[in-house]
Amino acid sequence: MGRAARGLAASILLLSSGAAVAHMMGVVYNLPIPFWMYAFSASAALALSFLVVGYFVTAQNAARNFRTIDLGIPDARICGAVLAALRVSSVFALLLTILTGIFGPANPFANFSVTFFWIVFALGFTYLTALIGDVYALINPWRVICDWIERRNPGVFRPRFQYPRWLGYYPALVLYLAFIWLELFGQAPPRQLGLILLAYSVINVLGAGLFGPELWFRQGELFAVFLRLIGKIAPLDYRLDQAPGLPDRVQVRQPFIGLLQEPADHFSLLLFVLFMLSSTAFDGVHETRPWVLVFWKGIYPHLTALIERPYLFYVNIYYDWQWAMLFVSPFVYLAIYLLFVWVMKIVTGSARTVRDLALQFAFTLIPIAFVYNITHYYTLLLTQAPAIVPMISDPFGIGWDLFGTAKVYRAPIILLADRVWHTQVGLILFGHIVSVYLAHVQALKLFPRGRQGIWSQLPMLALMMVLTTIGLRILSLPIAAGQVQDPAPAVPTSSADFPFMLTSADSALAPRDPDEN
Amino acid sequence: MIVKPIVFMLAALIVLAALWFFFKPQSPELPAPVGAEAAAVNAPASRSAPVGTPGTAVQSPSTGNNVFELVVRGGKPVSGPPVLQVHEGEQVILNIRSDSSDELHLHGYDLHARIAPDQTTSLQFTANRTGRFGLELHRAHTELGALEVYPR
Repeated sequence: MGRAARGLAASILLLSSGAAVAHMMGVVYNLPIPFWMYAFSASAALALSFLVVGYFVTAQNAARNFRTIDLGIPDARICGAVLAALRVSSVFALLLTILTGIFGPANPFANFSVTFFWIVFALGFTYLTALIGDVYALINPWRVICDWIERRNPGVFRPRFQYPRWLGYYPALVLYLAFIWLELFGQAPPRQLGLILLAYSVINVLGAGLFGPELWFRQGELFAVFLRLIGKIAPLDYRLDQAPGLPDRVQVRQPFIGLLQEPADHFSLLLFVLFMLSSTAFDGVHETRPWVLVFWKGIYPHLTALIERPYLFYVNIYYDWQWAMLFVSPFVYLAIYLLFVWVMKIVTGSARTVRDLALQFAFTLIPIAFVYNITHYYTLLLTQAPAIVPMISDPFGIGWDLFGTAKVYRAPIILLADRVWHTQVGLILFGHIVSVYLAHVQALKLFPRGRQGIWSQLPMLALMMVLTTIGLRILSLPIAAGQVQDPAPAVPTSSADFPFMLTSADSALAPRDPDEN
Repeated sequence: MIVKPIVFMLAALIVLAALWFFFKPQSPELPAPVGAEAAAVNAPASRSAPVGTPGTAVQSPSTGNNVFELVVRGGKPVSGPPVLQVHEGEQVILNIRSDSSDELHLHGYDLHARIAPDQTTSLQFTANRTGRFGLELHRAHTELGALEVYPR
């Protein structure tokens, strides 16, 4: 199958031409939003922000009316049974993903593990978590495995080392960087995905063994941290009992209010949130024409002037550069964020440190990060997720038909481009308003009212405007036809005025035969 | 007080509607910035190429008929626009010529065409699905470019 070949050949594709907008998750059919829509939504974001400000100016008590309702546990036995079933299926899904990855078809588009992990879990389950809350904390397959091991060997997971306080969420952050790198640049065949998940399982058991499961699955395991943050959006909250695993009560709250219930408790968690923002922004921008040109028009000519190397050398540099930008991106966002927090401290004359304020407002960025994520990936979910239907009947690709769906034709759902645009713009505006709203509530809580007046609100509002405008602008940028410039043609033109083009498809690079046109 | 949130909701809707009508272009004016930019960046190509058909990428949308010529040699595109931009509902004619036999695949539309060596193969279809779709040579594993279909 050509699609398979394309996935596998993508790494050697570098030289032939640029791959389309494709990464581990599949192919995106999105068009950049038109400029007028960008202009509209940026202005709308600004106007709506001031409406929110106006709302707060006239409301003295907006922060008061948040409450949570305890649902308790309807029936402890039924709940326990459902939960036990979910935990078993969670481990089963993990094992199946690893096994089908290693032993299933080599074609990434036909392999269960790729679609299940990247589409159903990484996208679908994230969005589900935003609706129903952090169920993952209860059914985390690695946690369940550790519980099982502990039941057989009591005491095996007692913490062996004191977890250093400074380490915070850095393990999860490093794993998150690796995860996004794999998503954007890893052209790993399914087999490697299976092995990576196996290695990650070993890491998790080791981490739990060293520092205790409680701590590791709160601060070390990437998806636990990520989905806990996303789960704060949801209207449902599961308060954990002391006994691991079983929630002792379920609470209902207004959506998004969970983000205000506690501040970030470590600087590394702030970085984690900023990377949620910057990784999606980077994914959006790294294949757009202006961004690709930064290297090939801005950096490449200087490099060639400095060092003379074969063309492939520069292609490698290009990828190193892209990776470096990905890893630098959260720190760029950090600098922007701290700048605005610092201004806020000056404006309000608050006695709190910049660091403290930065942690207090960290979670108010999550709605923006979350809608970034949806706008970038929801079409992917629609086009790729139907493929799981035939795959669950034949996960190993060996001719099974377990549920009679193996032959079901899966038509990718491709939405109309203008409908996609409207959804994207609407979602971004929505996330922006929620973030502005949350930041205001937080400001009311932290700064005594009256003294600073409306001015205390403006720095955060400006920050949200910057973040939203960046997100919208990225959506509107034209997509590069190719990532990498073609190597010098067989008959090179004079190097002095080497015609600089982005893609091999741009004909200038190759000698052209007059009669071929 | 339930009145105030409603008032602010209404105000928000009015602001959104007003901005929408302010920014939305009149219907005949179709989005062109991407095409215009592509043309600008393509300019050096036509200057340096000995013979060329510059500007194929930005055909006038009003013609309703879009003919694109692609030439492939050694599995690599040597001539033709990297991005084919059309508008929804238009006829697209894609003429492709390669020095080796191959199979052309247009993603999203899932159109396939066999290419015989040194013969022009023509792919004709109506661009009735909007979005950005990869154009790929299966045997050479080459991404020839992309078809961008803009809504009307």
